[in-house]
Amino acid sequence: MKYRVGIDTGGTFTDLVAINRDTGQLLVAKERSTPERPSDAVGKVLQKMNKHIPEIYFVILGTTIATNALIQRRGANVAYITTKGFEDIPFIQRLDKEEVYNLQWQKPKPLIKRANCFGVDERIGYKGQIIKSLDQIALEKFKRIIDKHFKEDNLDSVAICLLFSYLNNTHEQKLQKYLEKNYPSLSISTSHAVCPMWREFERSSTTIADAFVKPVTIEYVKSLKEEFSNMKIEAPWCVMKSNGGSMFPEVAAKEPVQTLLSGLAGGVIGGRYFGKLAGDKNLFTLDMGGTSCDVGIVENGQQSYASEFQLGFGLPISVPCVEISTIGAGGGSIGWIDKGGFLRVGPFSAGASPGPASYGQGGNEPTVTDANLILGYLNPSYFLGGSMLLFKEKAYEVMEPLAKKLGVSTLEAAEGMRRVVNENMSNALRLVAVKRGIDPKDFALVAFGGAGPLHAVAIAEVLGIPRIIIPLHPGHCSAFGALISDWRVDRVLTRLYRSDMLDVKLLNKEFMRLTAEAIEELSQEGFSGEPAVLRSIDMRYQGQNYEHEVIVSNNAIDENEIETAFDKFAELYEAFSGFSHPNAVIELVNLRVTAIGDSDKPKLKKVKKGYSPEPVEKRSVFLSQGGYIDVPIYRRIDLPSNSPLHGPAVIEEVASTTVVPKGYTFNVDENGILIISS
Amino acid sequence: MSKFDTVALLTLHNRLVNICEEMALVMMKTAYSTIFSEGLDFCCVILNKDAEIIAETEYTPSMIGAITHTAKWTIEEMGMDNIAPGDVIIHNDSYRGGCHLPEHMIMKPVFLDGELFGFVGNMGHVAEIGGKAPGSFAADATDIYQEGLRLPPIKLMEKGEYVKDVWKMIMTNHRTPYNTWGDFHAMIGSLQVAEKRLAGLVERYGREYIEEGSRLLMDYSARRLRAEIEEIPDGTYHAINWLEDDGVSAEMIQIEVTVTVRGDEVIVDFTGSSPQVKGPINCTWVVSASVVYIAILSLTDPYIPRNSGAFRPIKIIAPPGTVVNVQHPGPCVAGNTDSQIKLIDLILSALSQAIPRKITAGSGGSSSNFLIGGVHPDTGQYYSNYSFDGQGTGGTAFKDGNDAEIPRHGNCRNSPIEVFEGRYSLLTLEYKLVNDSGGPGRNRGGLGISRIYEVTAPEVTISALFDRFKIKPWGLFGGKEGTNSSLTIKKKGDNRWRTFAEVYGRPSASKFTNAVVTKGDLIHIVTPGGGGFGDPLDRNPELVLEDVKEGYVSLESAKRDYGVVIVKTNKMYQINQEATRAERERLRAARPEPIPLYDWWPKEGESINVVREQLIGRRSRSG
Repeated sequence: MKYRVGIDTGGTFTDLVAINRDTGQLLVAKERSTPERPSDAVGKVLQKMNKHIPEIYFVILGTTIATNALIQRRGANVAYITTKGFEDIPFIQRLDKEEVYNLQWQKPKPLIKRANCFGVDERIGYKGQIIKSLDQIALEKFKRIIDKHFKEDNLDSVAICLLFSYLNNTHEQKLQKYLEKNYPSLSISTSHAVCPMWREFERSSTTIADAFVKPVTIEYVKSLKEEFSNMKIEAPWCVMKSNGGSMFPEVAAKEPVQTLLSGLAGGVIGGRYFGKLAGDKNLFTLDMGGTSCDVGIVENGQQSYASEFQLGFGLPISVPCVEISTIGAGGGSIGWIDKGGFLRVGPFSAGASPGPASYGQGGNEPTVTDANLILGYLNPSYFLGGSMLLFKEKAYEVMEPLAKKLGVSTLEAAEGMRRVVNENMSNALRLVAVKRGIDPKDFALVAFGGAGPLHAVAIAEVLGIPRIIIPLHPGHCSAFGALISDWRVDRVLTRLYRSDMLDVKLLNKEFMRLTAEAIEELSQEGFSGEPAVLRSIDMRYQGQNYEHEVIVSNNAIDENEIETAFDKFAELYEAFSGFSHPNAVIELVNLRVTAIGDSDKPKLKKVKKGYSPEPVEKRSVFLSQGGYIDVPIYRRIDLPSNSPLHGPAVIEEVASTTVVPKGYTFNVDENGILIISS
Repeated sequence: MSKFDTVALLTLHNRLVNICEEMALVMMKTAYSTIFSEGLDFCCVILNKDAEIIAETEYTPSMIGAITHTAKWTIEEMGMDNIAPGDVIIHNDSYRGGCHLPEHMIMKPVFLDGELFGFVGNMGHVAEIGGKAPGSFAADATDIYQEGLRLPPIKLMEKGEYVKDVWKMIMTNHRTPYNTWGDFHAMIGSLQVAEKRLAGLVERYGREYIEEGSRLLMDYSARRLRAEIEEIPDGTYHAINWLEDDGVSAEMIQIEVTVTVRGDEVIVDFTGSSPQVKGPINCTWVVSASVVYIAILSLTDPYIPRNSGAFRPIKIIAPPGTVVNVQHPGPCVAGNTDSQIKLIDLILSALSQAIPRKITAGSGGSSSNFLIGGVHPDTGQYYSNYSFDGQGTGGTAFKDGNDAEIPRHGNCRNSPIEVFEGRYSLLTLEYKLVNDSGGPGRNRGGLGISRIYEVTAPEVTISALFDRFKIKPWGLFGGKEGTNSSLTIKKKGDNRWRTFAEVYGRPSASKFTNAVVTKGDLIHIVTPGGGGFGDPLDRNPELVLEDVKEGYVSLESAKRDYGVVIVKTNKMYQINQEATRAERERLRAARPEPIPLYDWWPKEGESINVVREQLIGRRSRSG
């Protein structure tokens, strides 16, 4: 039993990376994804391991099953159960508009039907006190309504979200018990379990999303089990969570909302791993594929986390996740001219089908891939290692009309498209930096995904980033991230303590309870061993509405510990806003505990060093400083370690291509990581 | 255009907007009052030397049209000689280029190498600024002195040092000085961050590059806007509507607009609007200017970079001494919140004949401003809160109106009930959409909101400013009106809902201050629905059926307004096709005049061709 396997199911491809724990040898494979039945592609890509299949000892899967179900709105028929009088909260939302000056903007509808929203006569108050008890009469009434509707409509999933249930969950549990008993086939999501945080709209939206994707996820887990059993794989397997951790499939099926960003999280985890191996603790990760570009950040060796993300406006999901910004910039992004004559790229994409014009599958609009081909960066006969031919003349055909409209040459149009898409991506990176008040110059850029390495250096140049890291097998980085992911449980408790009336003993007690719960959950998700625990408190000045997360130690919390935490908060606050307010009351809003179980980290095979590599050819490539020049083309596999070379150069490998302009040096380190520096 | 091809220009624009977004982020996250942190009732801009906007964030449109004027007047009054590096200037005076008094502009000059580059500034609604009513929203004020503390352009900081006397004076006159102090720091902090970023940008690109680039960007926006205006048929377009009263007397107040489109320019003339009134529904000149900018920006490509250049093709006439250009000492707090949105809608209505595909039917038209103040039983501390609610918007040629949306001139969010109840002594009993409130139409109006509060403290002081109790949001091209709003109270022990006018003996049921409600009282807020667009008898019966199933439209309204006969058989809703045809025929025949068939209706499958920069997976603003 030698192989640990990571699999990432993306929109276009399902990727696999397997590592031999004895030799560090990596196996990689790619298969077209099969959206109708995603487990088919997982099976197919596993088949590519051939004789090594019996040697698998562990599998971790990143997945976009739940994400796609949400985005395409193909999920369960959900009944929404809430406090009477508040059935319309998912429809009212927060009143704000996505587009302020667009009179034709359509407010998004939630994932439920209004006719399937049911109120229950109960009410809990802001201290968790019961204002109106869920008594026998209310429960009987609820039963009558539910029984009637569940008979008439095809409801297959239930979301329960009562007001203030994050403070007192007894009413939600009562309803849950009734439903479990009488409708055993229903899947049930309760807000106190899915996301015990305040703000009723965000909590309801998250609970509804969970209920919406639950049946699909259960089905997915079931079909994967069959797939594994058919292939006689008996090794345990896990599904990745949005927070970068992993969990047993049975747990994933219970809380599918936790998997919504699992595919994206894999990329950041993989990027962090290679960055760390290359000696960098502060990193941007840039994952550019066919339709989108996902940007993450790692500070001091830790990826940053968000407690909420939006899958489209009006659809907030409040679960802990690796913080990622996504923009519509990928190889398939389409170039177009706006009414004012500005060249724009994306967010529309030619997607996987028809794909860029140069795929020759009927694409008739210029894409970023077409531009890269015209500029000579891509090798038409070595795309996906030569398994797919690119047609340069088709790229020209679609680029010419765009160039004409712009009044420039075809070449200039292609180059303009590259600049625009690079600019879009640097903007996304800059906003991530801005949010955290950091200077991009102090960070390295880890770029991967099929298209990331093609654009990485250009983006780094715009932002003044001096160091670019291209992981091993950059086209498989998300699968690699799944492969090395740890176990991780995030627990959060919303409270509203004040620094001037703080019961430190109570605070300590709450933290102990939360920690015990997190460790318990970690073991349920599959970890055995001694977990690492991180604890923090979200603080703000009284009256404010946004918090800064302050790390607290794992010692018992006493007056000293809490004073230190308050000082840390003041420091953080000042760094962000330019002020601190020494005499103001501080509010302690959320208590957070994270339990992490380390997975065994693979040792990579060392790369031989010494000899000077030969380029496989020289190709005419367009460089912005000097027009077309003949540039040496290397195969990545040929590059020895510790033999720095100078740009310009193009480095090709099976699932990706790296462009190194003039003025940059590139070098492969002993682990095989490609490092480019200015 | 050697160094500025379009890519370079767009790049510079994005960089400048990035800085404004960072400003906004600092403000939102460090503010002390919910109107900034949840409501986002502010805007952030970068201005050049001449106080022209070169970039902005689009949080609250109601201010972007104003701030360039406010800044210009500030500089004019202070004199550039008296503005030094490290100064921070504050200004809210309605008669010196300000909006209503709560809107405070804070600006900071940006000097680079000792030479003025421009200004960074923001404008935000400060929640409590003194005056006769908690929350500084005196719906029955008769002069500006009842509305709060006036600040002419003065310095909060001078050469980097606090001007302590000014701070003391302001803090003494606001009811919740702690919040003011925090919000001022949030505003100043964001300016400091912006100043630093701007310096970095100049260091990278050079001063001349940015100056020339921003000039070209303004020219570009002006050119784009001109091209868009040229697409509107030349002509003079006219509309009249009314504000129901001014809180002081029961008289209706006329608002009137004449829009003249001539080639690539547009003149918006409010002549004919009523003389300024006693109560606070008057608008200052910059508030009216914002009205025009918002309307025009909403009718043109929303992706034109927003800067002062975009304002060049627009001329505004607002006669002094009228409700659209108030003079001292006329009150004006509600000019910003209520008159402004009605004026925006009025311009849309005037242009409905010229560009029917671009406009909407009448939207709710009131912010439903609701203010509370009192002492919290848990903390013993004084609080005040300003809230508002969503409304239905009007249908358009392409789509139904939106339900529960914040009015056109802002982009504020509601306070979550779970946040609100921890701070204030009102228990929410109901928060839902009002069925049948959307005006029937081929494209239906959006639904309004109903909210019921129960008072849980011994005493809470209430002020309110509502409108649309009498006049309904209009329908267009055969579409019918949306429903009215209302505000009523059921005193503990009473068995009826009554207006505040009736219970508290006020002249206006919709506009009053300082009504003291007590424990156990119930308060009911209903906001208006949007108007319908096009003949409801032309609405696809399947859509009516869906509306009935989902509860947006009742069975009765389906038949009465849409002529769609729906029957419930076997617990399933179904259209009776035969009866529907007959009913529609009957309703058509009964009309005094037929509704004409217009040739501009979107074709089958024709979509709204608007492109936006998609940002999925982002962390939301409530993060």
